[in-house]
Amino acid sequence: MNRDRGNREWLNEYMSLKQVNPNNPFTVPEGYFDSLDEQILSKIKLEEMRNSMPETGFAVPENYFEDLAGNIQSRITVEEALDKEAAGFTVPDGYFDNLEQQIKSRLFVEEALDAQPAGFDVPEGYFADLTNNILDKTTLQRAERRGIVRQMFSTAAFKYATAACLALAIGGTLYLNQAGNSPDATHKNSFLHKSLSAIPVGDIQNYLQSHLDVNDTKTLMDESKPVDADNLTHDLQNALDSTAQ
Amino acid sequence: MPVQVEDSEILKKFQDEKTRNEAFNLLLKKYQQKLYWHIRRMVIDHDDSDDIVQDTFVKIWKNLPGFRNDAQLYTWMYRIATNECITFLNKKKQKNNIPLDDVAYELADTLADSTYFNGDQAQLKLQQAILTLPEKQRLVFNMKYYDDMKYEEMSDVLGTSVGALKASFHLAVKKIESYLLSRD
Repeated sequence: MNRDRGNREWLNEYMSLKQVNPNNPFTVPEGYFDSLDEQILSKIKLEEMRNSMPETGFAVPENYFEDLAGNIQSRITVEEALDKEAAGFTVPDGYFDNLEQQIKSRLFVEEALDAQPAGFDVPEGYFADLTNNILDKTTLQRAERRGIVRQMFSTAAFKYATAACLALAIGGTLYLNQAGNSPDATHKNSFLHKSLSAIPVGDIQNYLQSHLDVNDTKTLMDESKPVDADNLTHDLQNALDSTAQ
Repeated sequence: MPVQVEDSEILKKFQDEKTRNEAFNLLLKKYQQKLYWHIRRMVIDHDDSDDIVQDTFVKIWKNLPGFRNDAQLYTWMYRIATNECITFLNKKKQKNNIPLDDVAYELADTLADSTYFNGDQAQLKLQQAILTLPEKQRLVFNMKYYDDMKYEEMSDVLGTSVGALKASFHLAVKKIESYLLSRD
């Protein structure tokens, strides 16, 4: 570097600037430049170490990263298998979380049960007489109950009486139905029967003796047969035919 | 005063694996202060300058094996240091969410409170005037006023034409002169 400190003629045009001391007004701490080169070299060393750290500082085996994915998968498989083995005996979810509380509750109940005999007492000799008392009361009451209780439907006579009543009721009903529907009953309820019944018996005999012949009497007065409307019509027709001849 | 080793000699030693560290030590001794002051005048604060100069030399170490002789080693290192300064100032602006111009006011405050400033009132005023300049003009003025750098060298460092640099420099000087005259 070729310096020409004397060539400062340009300053002659700027008088104010020319009057200023051209020396460096800045200072540095004492001995700063004595140690600056060492500081710079140390910094360079640190930079080199930092840059080379990934290559030489922390080395990995050959093909480490190529096999890393497979190794991780294998490790996961092994861990899962171990977890399954450990899970041969399982407990419900949250079992161990509640176990302590359950044990405490159980102990509380057990203690309460153990404390009950002291809480409820019986008279002296109660259990010694308890069996006899129970037997006495149960056998006595059974005997008393036998004298009082009656069985309503256990006798055979009652059964037969019931059957006879039913038979009479059914039979009577059928007979009455048949009697009501017979020709004799029908005749008695007819208008002819009711009209003739009002005529005195002597008048009827007189009429028959004077107006009817023997055949008519046979037909009309045959007591062995009930009056039949069809027969009556037939007999009357015969009588008319014979009269006409 | 130690004898300055030529840049070509340093580069030659750096090419050899056995003498690489020796070459870098020579490089440090030759340029550490120059780069530090270049950085310090841009960022004002010593601690910030310390961080940046160390980062600058770490980058020089990393990139020196790829350095081509078609550029001067000196201007190449200045370019790295300048870029580190601009990156730092941009981060400072983003961190505080302030416009780039307002960074100058913050730097002026830093200058006023700085323990490591030994200038007189005129020198303080000059620094305040410099901080009013745009970033590029600050760089040009500092490299010309304090480092006596040629425009061609500045062109290598900043990647700007010589004519544009001359114009920037004259604008910067006029602003500074005006600042110094107007505020007594």
